[in-house]
Amino acid sequence: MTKTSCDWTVERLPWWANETLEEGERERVAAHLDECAACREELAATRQAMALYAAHLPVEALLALAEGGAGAAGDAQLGGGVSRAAADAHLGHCAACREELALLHESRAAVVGEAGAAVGTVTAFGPRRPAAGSDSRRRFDLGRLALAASLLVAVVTTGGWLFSHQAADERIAALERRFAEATAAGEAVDAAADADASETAGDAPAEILSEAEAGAAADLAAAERRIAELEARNADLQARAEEAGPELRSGLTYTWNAVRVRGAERGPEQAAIAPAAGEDFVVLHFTLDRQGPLVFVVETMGGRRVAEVPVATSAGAGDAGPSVSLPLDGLPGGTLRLRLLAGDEEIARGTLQNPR
Amino acid sequence: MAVQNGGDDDSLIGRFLAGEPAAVGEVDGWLARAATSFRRRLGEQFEDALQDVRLEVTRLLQEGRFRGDSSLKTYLWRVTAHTCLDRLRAGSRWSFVEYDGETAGAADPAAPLPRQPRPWNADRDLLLRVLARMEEECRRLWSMLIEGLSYREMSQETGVSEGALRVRVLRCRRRAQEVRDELLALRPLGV
Repeated sequence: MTKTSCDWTVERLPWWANETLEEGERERVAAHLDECAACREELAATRQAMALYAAHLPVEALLALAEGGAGAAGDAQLGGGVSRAAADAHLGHCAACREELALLHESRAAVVGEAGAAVGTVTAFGPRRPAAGSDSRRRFDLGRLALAASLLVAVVTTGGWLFSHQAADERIAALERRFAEATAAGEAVDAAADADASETAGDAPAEILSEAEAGAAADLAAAERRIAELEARNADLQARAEEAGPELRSGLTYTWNAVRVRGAERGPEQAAIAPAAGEDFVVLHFTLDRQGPLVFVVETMGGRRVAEVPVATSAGAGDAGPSVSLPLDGLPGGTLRLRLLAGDEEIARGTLQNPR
Repeated sequence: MAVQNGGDDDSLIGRFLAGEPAAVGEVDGWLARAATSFRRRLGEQFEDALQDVRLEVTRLLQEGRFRGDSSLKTYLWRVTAHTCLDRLRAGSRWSFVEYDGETAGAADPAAPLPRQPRPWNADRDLLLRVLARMEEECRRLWSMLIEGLSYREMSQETGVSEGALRVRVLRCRRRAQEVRDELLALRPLGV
């Protein structure tokens, strides 16, 4: 490889990393990276630089500063692995963190700054257990809210599975069933709360009831909006799949809990993914152009196999295919190779960046 | 060290968990006031964020996680602020992670693993110190990169030719590595 090619490539790596190179340059960089280990190391250094320039103060450090820096100075730790000195240096040039700190100061002043909090209006918020001998009032049941909220979260989270465009209708129907179940469960708990409350004498204040109902209605409305959003996105995926034609290649599709799949322009068989911040597993979906037993393997870049799982499917060609939940804790950190094997034949591959 | 009004706080927590309307109202008032400053930035997510705060506070108090190291009001402010700030930051664009291109053909199992750079950006304190020492131009150029501007767009915005821009960006990246090495050399052994 000539030196000129390396220089040309290295200069363009930051825009390769932020995906803004034009197609011709992108292909040249990709081809060069395939062949040049030194430039791959330059790419890794470029990513480190992106992490550097994107760095901000952790929330813990900002909270400590908003409380007066916890008396810290110099190398004293604020929290989040950051010293007071580093935090002060960062605030000197980072308007975003200064703005967040200002928000925290304002927020703290609104609460801690005042002398004695006035009793506010009771809102749709409170735990379940009615106190013995308490006033005869109906209380909003936080248990109901928590149950409904958790079921609704599960419902809309499950909507992530809608990104399997071949089974879109089935997924939507399943989502609607679960939403109906969540609503029924919420209503059942509400009825139980009503039964409890009816044992006490007197009528509930109108503002408590209306606020409780408004809170529950807001939760359901939010879930309905999410479902509508997921349905629209699924319809778009379905349209694109139909436009692409009936022929499918085997490949890794994307996962709902990871950073967007990269390399889609090179085809689903070369997907590259990373888990979203804080996630300790990724869910990988497959499209398949065949049926029969498959094996999904994870390897280091040097070819050492570190995990494998059978992927059985009895589905016909063109089916959405199965999915695999891959925990990250047991895997080596860094870039890992993902391969889908039908016997000795590799039918799909991708890479995973494991931060662990 | 327990705060002097710990008894009042414990009483309030007990009454709150028992569902006493006055206690619930008092706590909820604090939470709402603490969250209000985030309303504009959170926009339509504000009500969801506030409900997240309420659920989180109830869970923490039920689990006895408030230890009295600060006043209850301060503790609740921290929970609220943390939740709202997390939500603000989560609302920003996804991060992009590029990977090395896959080579064609089977990998040689006997081949050594590719050398990985030392993950110095895992040391947040070091990272922030390095960043603070970088020239303003470097921070500005790389911020544009992170925002997703092409070098053509950056050239138009900065008035610098595309070729010169690419060289400057590369120089900034290498300068950051030098600064990092300088700071590491200054560190006491074992830090």
